Amino acid sequence: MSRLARKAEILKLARVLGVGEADLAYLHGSDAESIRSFREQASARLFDADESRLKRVAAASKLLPIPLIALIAEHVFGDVLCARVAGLIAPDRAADLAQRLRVGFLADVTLEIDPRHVREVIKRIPVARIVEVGLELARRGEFVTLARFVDYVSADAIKAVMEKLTDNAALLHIAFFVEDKTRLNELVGFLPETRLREIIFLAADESQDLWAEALALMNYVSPEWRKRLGELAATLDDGIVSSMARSAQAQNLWSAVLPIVGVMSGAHQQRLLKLPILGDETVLDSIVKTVDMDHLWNELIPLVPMMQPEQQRRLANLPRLRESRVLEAVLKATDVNGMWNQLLPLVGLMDEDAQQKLALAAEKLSDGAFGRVFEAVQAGRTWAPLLVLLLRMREDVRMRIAPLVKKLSPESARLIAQEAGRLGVLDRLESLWDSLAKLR
Amino acid sequence: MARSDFELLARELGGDPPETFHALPADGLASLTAALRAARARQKKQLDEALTKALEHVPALMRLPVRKVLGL
Repeated sequence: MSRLARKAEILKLARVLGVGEADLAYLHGSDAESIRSFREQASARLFDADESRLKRVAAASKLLPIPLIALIAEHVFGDVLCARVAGLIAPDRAADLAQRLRVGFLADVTLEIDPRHVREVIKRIPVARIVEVGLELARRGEFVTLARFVDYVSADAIKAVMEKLTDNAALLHIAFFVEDKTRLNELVGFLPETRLREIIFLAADESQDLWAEALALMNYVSPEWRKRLGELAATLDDGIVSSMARSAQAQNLWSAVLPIVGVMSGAHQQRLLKLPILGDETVLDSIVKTVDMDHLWNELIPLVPMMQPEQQRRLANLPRLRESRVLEAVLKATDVNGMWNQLLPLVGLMDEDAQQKLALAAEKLSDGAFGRVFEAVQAGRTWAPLLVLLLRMREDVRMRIAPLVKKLSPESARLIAQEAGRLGVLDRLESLWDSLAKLR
Repeated sequence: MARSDFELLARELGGDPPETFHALPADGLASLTAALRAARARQKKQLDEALTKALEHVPALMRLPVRKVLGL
């Protein structure tokens, strides 16, 4: 997700500085918040310059009637000067002036204006006028500018623009750039379900290349809306979700997909996980790579039990999941999120090398974490994967765990003994933990 | 002592850029400084041209005092 937010911020900064996106390629390692902060500073630097001179122009305008100012504004001052003066004249007069300018010229002015300076003016402009300018800007493809105004325009005006703006791709582009993401919940609520479906179908048309924008929107909205939009996509045919997965793979968007899948119902998650593309080892590796980079283990691990056995086996044996740093991150996230019963079953699907690497990483778990592992497994009553891991650990680590074994219930001790017998390791376990024999 | 690229950007910006920008490559910082400087110059030129154009519509006798008032 951070990648999409950064992309949006780079495009917005490029717009402020009047350069191309490619000219700011060196910002691809920066975080979105820093780029946004810099953009605001740069905008203020540009917009606040020459204020004293512009105040004199604004003061002079008081002497003239509005119709004459409108004429001068359009034919003499031009868009840049009008944009800079707009916030310095009385809001009522400025709004009156906005009513008298041609729509095309008002759109030109809007492109140059800093909405923070004309908040009071915007409030006074009738909805019909805002719709006209909004549609003109959308026609020109000025989505960054439209998005900047979303924070300042009334809900009624936005709703009216959205009703008239039938271009769903434009809506997705605008949503991608909106500054105050919390506003998106309200905006999505203005759209009837048929239109939401149309938007998802549009995103799935890969010739349009809009999945990044659609996924960004689904991530920015509240968890309730995310669930609703995600499930809406999931209820459409498999082609839609396959298209989403293909785009996620091609454009490295898994960090945007996983939180959406995470809030879907179990049935939808299962359906999604059955898609052939998600059984592909390269795709699974991309997902794990993204999850590792963006710390999304808490999104991925709950999905593991719903995967197909072959999918689980491929995941569990990925080379990336043999690196000690990655495994330690997996174990930490599993512990913090209480997901031991979701993770441990993978142990039985791992080859010996993968099991050994996981055991080595698990040796570093704290006593507290081991305690939570035992509690979880005791509740889940499936001991085999844990026993396999424990038997691969160094003896001193197993001795460290002995006090936890002493605290087990007799029933758990019996279950352990059963599993250990099945694995042919009961003697080894009982010689290590004499309390196990006593308990059962 | 020569100013660092970060300091030059701060000067153009009229304040310190975000701390994380210290990690940007030197040519990136220089490029941002140049882009901001160009944007400021472009905007100043557009404003000057708009105001000068406006003056052409002021009667000749009034132009000098108006020019003074507008700081041109």
